[in-house]
Amino acid sequence: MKLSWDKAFYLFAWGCSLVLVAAVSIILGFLVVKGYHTLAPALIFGDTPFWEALLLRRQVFDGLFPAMVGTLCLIVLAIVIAIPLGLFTGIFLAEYASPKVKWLFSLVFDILAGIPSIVVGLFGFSITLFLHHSFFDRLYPCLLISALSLAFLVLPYMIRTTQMALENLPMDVRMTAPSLGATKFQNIFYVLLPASLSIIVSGIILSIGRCAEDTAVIMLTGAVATAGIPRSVFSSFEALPFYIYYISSQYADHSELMKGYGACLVLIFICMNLFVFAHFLKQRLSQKLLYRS
Amino acid sequence: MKMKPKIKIKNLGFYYNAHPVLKNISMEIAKNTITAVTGPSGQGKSTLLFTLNRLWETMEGARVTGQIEILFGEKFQNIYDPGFSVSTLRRRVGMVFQMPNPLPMSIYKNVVFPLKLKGAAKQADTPFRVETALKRCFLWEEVKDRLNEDARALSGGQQQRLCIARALILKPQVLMLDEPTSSLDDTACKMIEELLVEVKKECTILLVSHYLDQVKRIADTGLRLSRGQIIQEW
Repeated sequence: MKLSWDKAFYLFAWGCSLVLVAAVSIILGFLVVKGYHTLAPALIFGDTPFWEALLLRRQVFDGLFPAMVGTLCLIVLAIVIAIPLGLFTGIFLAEYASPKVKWLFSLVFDILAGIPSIVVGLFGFSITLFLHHSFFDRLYPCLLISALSLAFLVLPYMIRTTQMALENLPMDVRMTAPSLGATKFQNIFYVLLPASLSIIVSGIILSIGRCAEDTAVIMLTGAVATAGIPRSVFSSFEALPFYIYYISSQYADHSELMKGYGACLVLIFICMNLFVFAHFLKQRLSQKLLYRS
Repeated sequence: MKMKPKIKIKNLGFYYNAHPVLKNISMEIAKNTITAVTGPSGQGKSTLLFTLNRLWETMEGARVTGQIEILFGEKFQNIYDPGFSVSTLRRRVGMVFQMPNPLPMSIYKNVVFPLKLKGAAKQADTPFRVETALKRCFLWEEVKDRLNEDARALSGGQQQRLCIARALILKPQVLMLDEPTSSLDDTACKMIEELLVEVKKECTILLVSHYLDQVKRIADTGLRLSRGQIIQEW
């Protein structure tokens, strides 16, 4: 009897994994089948010669290039804002906070993690309106506000993964450097952070994915259908997820819808490249942090 | 002949939350000797070592009472004196753990690591100090051609000798070892025993061990820890 329960459990677990892998494959396959024939330089650059677009000499009107640049800028800006805040808050919670402070802060960050992205977007929009009316009348929804809102959205992931990664390190790793005379800061910097780097980077990768896909936040805080390449962090911008949402809800003809599928493939391609880059960075960083003399 | 004391422990108590682990321990440990602490598991042998380098302070809910003084130079220093730096203490009172714990870096960098923490890794004599420390631990011949290889690729016995070399590079005045041979085979054990007898000429050694035959072979003093109290066996 016991054996058959074991087998049933094994089959169920195996089946669950299989369903997930199949679902991912079907989604990817569907997008590839629908969108692959749109994959051509024209999808990205429209009628503009690509070198002129890349050198920013001529604006691209009928391609995804501005949305790609906007998405990349958005992700990089949001992650650059979120990494130091998330990392240091995570370190504080794991290594310095008293049990009471840890409990209180963890509760706050868990609540923050549960806030729907549309609410975060609305909050960003309200803050922009407030600042516009009270202090800077030239401030409108823009790249910076979107990036700040997105950073706010992904911060709980970063904080919690950093905190968990540090707290779950085994006692012998934790005690090695202090027993050799390391200060708390040296222990964190030389041993604990490098040892938990791989989990922290996983948190960053999840956050990159979230920043790349979230549409609710950016549609309220600065993304528009046509804006061109963002000229500064204070200008409105185009973004791939917003483009996909816009085109799929308001497409005029079949070819426009197909462009939406193409945009999906481009977005997935950008995310994959960012993940690979994050993994590469992880390898290089742990080498540098642990192996430097 | 009464030997000069290196460590004086007075009324030492250790509590983990409300639970007493060490109760009112008073003893002296003589300079340049090997003192072995034996006793059943869970009696606080490792905790006793942690009180001597204040490593227990990293544990939540732990508390120490009493006094510990160690002879540094000509003067006994109360190691719990608020003005006395814990980093300085841990550089002078080295520790080797039960499981070898090399850091995930090269052999050379593992040995240099304590110097780096002290801000002294870039001095001209660093390679010489690394070589000396590794030679003292009978490891130099085995690793001299692969100092830049990952330390975790060494065998268990080699890793433990590396950890002892890492502790010795700071020239500690007291070396504490927490069951250093429990995960090693007979040959590796013997090597470490020989090494400890050699090291005690310049260092006072406190050794926690499960193996009575080992303790009798190398220790000058044998202590037994039972129910939180110390009994001198010889």
